[in-house]
Amino acid sequence: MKKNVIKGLGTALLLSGLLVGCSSNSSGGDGGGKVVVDVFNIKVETKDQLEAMIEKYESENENVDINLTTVGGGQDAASALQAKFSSNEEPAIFLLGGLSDAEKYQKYLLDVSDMESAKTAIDGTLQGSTIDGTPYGIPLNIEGFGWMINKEIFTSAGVDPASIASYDDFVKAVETIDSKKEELGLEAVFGFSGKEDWVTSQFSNHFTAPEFDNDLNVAYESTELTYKYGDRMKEYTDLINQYNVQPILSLDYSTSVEELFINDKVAIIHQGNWIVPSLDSIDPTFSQEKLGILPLYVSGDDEGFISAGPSWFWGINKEKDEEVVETSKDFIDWMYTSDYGKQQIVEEFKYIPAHDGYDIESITDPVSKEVYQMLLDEKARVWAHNQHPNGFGSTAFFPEYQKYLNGDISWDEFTATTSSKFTEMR
Amino acid sequence: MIAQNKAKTYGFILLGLVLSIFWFYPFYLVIVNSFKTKSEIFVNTLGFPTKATFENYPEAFAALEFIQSFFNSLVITTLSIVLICICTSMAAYALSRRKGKMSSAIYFIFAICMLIPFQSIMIPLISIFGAIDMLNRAGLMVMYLGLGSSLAVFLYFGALRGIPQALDEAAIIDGCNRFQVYRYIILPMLKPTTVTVIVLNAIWFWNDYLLPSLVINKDGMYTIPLKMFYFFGEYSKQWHLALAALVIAIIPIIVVYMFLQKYIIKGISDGAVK
Amino acid sequence: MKMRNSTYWIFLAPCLLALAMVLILPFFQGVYYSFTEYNGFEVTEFVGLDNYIKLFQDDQFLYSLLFTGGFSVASVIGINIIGLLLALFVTQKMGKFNTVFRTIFFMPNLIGGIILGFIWQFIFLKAFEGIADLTGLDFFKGWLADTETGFWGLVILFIWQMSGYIMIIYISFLNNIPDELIEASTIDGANVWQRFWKIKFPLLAPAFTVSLFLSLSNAFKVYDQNMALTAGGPFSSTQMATMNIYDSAFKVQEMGYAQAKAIIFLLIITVISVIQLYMTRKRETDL
Repeated sequence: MKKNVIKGLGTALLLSGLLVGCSSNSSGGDGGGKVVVDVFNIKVETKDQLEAMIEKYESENENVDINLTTVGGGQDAASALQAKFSSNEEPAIFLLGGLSDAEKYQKYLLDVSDMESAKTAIDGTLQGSTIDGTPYGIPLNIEGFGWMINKEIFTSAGVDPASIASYDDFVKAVETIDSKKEELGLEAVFGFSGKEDWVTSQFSNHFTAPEFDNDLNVAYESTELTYKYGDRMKEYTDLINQYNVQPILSLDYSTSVEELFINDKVAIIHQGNWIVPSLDSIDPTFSQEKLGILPLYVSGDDEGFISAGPSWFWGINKEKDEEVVETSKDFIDWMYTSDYGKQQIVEEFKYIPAHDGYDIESITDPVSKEVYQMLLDEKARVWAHNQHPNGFGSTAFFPEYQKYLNGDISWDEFTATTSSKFTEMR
Repeated sequence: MIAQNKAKTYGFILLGLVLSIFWFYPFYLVIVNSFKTKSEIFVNTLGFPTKATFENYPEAFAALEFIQSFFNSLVITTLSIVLICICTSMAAYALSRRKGKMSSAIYFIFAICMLIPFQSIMIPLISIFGAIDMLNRAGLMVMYLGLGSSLAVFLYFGALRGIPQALDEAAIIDGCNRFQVYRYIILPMLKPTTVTVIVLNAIWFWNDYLLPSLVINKDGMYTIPLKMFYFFGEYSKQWHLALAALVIAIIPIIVVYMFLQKYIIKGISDGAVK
Repeated sequence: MKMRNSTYWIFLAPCLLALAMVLILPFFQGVYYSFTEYNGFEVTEFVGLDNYIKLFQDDQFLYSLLFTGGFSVASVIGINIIGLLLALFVTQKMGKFNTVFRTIFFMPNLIGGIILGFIWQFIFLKAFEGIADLTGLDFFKGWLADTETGFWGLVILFIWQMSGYIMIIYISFLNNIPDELIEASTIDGANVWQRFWKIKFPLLAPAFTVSLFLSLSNAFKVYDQNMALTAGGPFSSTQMATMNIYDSAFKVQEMGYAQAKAIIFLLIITVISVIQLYMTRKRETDL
């Protein structure tokens, strides 16, 4: 018995020795004479589609070997990418979350301006990765957000969503729906997720983007947030709070979207077109028949805007070997400009394309089409909140906003505190 | 007397069952919800599924690439445990057999190290291991040894205090050297503690997500938790699959645990010098 | 017969080496970073004690320390009492049931923190709502939506998760108590209470040292559960120190400042733990 234990331990030690021997030369391998490109992805939702894309590309380019690393869970993405860089395992292609990332990784980033996929990018979409006139990233897709509504409930309440053309119309619609809450079987009009920091951050964008002239670089350079449109923000906030499912502070994304909204228990939520796949996985007819999007009226009572733009950018690491850089460029170009790539982006990834030359009719769900159209019609604000100081949205704005929702502080206290935090964090 | 004992035993069992319900309820939720569709989980969380779906399991099984992930998890968990059991029991043995300022100081260092929150050393740790080209499975095992040694040393040290030095002395007089004493006398006597160390660490290694995601997030090396986090997207989470995956991932651990239970034997040094 | 020097160090070498590489070296690197402006990439400037001065004016950080302290006290007491009771309970003579109960009480450790948080959200939000509707007690309403219920929610979750773990430690010490002692005392007519207080309790002293230390250090270091159950909400009022540090590091991306926080946090835990170890050790020798 004893002998066996020792034998076992001995074998195990030997094994681990072998493992050390075997695995220590696995990094930086040459892939058998192939060009090895490491891609770092944080969009878990489309991991499978990306893998299929890579497979196709590899089959067309025999000498290329693309390794995909996907980090799940959303929240660890930033730290995982940072770890890759601080450990000398820099990926060749990785995702940037906006100007602050672009600045952080600037010394690694390739100027993408001569790439095909940069030339075909829709006007203005490169702004989120452009520092001093040099674009450092190719937009991944367009994501748009505003009021996501259940059109069927509006109609049943006798409100035509298409007729809403001003702030007052919107308030009336909300009041009308609220008055018929019982017969419509609603829990409340709004299902605003007051528990999610990113939802409140996005909500704030409608009011901060116009303050920063709807310009990402202005937003990024700005050292102060004055709440130029704070009054309207307060009006909207009070409206939500009055007609929302309570307690608003513990309402999370899943409950709001996958439980209340899809089951016709709330009529309006603040979300974006990324909820479509999520809704489709529960009830495919919902996004086709009931889902609509409404803008917010901020800078003028009858000027409605949603927010839409790229939230992520593909950056390419110029520090890699030349052939790796060239292959990386080629792969990204191929993804967004080849016929196969285009088709995949729209039909499989279910993305709203950030590039020209796509057939708008091929977008599969009505709301994404609408967002795309609004973007082209300049009815959309940029994603300014991604250019707020790092962590401002989640560690400064969000807790204070929650306090206001909870009635613990006044609006003036809220704006004063967050304004000074904004300046301090910049 | 005997009847009274019987009654007492049944009383205990009844009490145990009541307690078990409290302890088991969250698991009931995991299991029952893993048989529901995504939509039903939110609408009907607490009850049985209105129409049980069995699709989550094959889907989760496929998404996890279970066979490969399972093997990877197994390799890392087993080897890390072997490493930790050998190294820490040796260290504890040395500390317990040489009392003095040096041993106290080292023991104290082990204790302090246990307090360091992982998040605060994460980035430097990764860059150090990156610099010496150790971001691979071997490196991960060394990290686990470093992070897990404090607790294991404590446990072994506690057990070793109960093993009289006279045993060692006798063996040495019989002509054993220190390593033989450790191997043939001490290690077998530490078996119950070893089981405890195995159980506590196995669970941690098996479920760990953050560290492997930084160290071995590469094709072909994925462990179960690394794959499991693919159900957690940027916005939406696929709970129905995550729960099914969780059940799949827990089963091996429970099996191992049941198996090891038998080895937690009472009275370790029976027949040895008391 | 003392162990030889060379033997001593050979036995200790692997562990100490790993410790040095994995914890001590990175820790000192962290100390260095705490005196700098560091974005996780490169040190942009050396700022001396600025980070430390800043954190003592950082209300949210100070609050999170207090909150962590309160959470730890409540959890440690709960975990150890329940853990010990469970250990005593499963070491009674119950035939096959011992193993079954032991497994069930230990099972919470099989689930990672993230999923656990999710499941307990269901319990606090939905199961409690159900109880409230049944009993009409407002006590069960609106859990996790305010600071107090968030706090107790975390404590309950952590006690549930960790008492089985601590139970295992107590069991391994209980099993080391020779049967002869127990039998002898029974023959001498000691009842259950006396047996526990006079015989088991003193012999369990080392177990208290380890268990208290373990539960304390784990309570201080809780992160996953906090993230998954309350995410620090509402308005960061249930934010633990680790979460605050993590946010500084990865959301605000002020690594240097986060490191400074981590150092102060570590100092505080160390002082508390050393006091705890010293006191329980003293008790051990007194008994």
